[in-house]
Amino acid sequence: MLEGILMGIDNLFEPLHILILLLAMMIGFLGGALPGISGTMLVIILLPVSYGLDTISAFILLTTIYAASVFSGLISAILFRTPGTPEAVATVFDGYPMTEKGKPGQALGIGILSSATGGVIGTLFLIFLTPILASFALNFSSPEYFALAILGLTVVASLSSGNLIQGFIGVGLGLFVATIGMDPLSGTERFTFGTLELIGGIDLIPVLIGLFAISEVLRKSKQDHTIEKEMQKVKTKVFDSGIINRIKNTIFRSAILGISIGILPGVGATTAAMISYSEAARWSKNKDEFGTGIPEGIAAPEAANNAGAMGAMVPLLALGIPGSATTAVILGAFVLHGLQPGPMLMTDEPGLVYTIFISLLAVNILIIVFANPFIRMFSKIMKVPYSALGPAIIIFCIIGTFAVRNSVFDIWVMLIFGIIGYYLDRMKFPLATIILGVVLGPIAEEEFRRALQMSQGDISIFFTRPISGVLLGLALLAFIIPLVNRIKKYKKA
Amino acid sequence: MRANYLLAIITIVVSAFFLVVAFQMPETNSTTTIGPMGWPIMILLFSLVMGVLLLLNTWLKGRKKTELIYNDIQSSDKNEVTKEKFHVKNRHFYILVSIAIYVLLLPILGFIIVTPFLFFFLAWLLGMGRLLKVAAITIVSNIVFVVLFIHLLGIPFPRGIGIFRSLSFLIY
Repeated sequence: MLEGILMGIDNLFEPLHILILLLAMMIGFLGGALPGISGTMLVIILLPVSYGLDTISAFILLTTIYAASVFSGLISAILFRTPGTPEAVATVFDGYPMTEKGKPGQALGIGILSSATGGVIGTLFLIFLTPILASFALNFSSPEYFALAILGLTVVASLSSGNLIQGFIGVGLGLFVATIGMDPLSGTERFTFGTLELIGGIDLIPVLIGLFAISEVLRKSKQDHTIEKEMQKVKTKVFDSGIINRIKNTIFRSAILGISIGILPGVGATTAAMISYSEAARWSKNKDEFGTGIPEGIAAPEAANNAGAMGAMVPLLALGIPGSATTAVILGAFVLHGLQPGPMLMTDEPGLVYTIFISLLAVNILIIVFANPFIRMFSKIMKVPYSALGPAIIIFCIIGTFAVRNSVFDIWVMLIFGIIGYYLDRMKFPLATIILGVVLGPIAEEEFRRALQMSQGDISIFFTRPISGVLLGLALLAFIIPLVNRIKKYKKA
Repeated sequence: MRANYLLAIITIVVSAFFLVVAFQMPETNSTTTIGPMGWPIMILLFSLVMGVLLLLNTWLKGRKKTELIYNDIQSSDKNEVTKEKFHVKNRHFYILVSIAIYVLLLPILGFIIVTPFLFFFLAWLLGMGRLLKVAAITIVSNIVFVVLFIHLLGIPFPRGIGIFRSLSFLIY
């Protein structure tokens, strides 16, 4: 591990890589702070740029943007009551009231410190957990991978925000989309209707871009995005010993909670922030003060979302299963660069994996250094109208989609999923469940069929092997517990 | 509520349609225990069941909440008289149509010709203001796209056909 860490440091400190890191940080800060551009969208937009870079530079770019955007969502959440990214939703609860009390600098300072600390703790866990999980996963065979995919799919329960049937329909759609094209095991064409372009299947990137980026632009096109309020001059104070003493335990607890939640495939940093906020309120002596602008109310979600974002990288790098929508895009980027995340990545590409770790660590530390100058610069950038951003995002989406396979057909796929995403989003449909199905579908199918081939059709192979049995048992629990809770709630009502 | 009905019906119809297609596919001599259509059939049956469940669930909820919804509709009807201009209200539709036209024209006219038109239209539609400003931003942003994606990253965008193809060779 130490050798890998030193290799990562060596790689990162090449002038080009440092330059890319700093540039990506600024892009991530900007995208995260501007409401209307999520981290997922930013990574999608920059995906075509990554094609032209070598693998290490490309992943420094994408992962740095990811980490930086999770942090900077707090700026507009605290100053304008408009979370820059979904991960910063819970930060509004106490961040904005503190600004209203006339303490925006203190609120930002708490946010910066908590984010950086949460991010560093999250990255340290990422560095130590990923190799352990990956070496454990080296023992996996088809039944275990199938069980893992099923466990990943049960996350639908938490992604469905109360509407489990809609969530299952989303997963079903995603799983079905993944079956279109040539069957990888027998070479048979499935649901292609003689269309040449469909033989290669429907790629993940056009589906992602359509569902998340295009649908978001369509939705935002009907809103007014200019933040009317003038940005006041803010003096941010990051290190305030009184405040640090007050929030240090909250930061540590929330970071641990954040990484534990972030590691679960499909859950992500937004859920981590929300749960951490409510847990901080539950265990606090001043629970009645939550929501009125107290430091703990900012520290808890910010430490958790940054730690959770790093946690979401663990299943991606160790098992090849994305922990969130953004990590699903990063998974797509790995595939585009001819790499397959998973246990073998640690063995085959240790230089790349450790450079990603070190750059994530560097970004989270540099947040403290660069956040202040960025906030000062941000007041000027806030004036960029959506009428310029919107068209640029659409062109970037088109370019990003086309560049994956140099296919105009993929742009049609993107457009169709943009329409589907827009209308489903209007009815509050959990869009991420579709992605879950598309990403996990091929793994689940191939491993399911391979496992049955191994056992000559005996389905008990999934339950008699210990790891597979435990994973399927966990999957069953993950499915049953929310269902039982809902029935209990229904009976109470 | 109506959206849920629609979603349930679409799910049922689509699942049933593809199930029919899947069952009509001849199972090839597969080396695996489960053939190429086995997994899709399982998923489609699952989706079909979910579609039926959503339909039933929506119907049951609808029976309980009829009065509430009626009140909601009445109050939202009042809000429907919005101040939004027609083109603002339908912006999403125009954006979709413009992207569709763009994709249709892309292989014919080529990336260099159609992209500025799409950018210009979208910027105008989203309310950038004066046409001169829209044109200037369109030109600048398209120069950035060409330099970044064509010259630096070498993405082989469609050149179009005939004269448009020849024209594109002047640029890349």
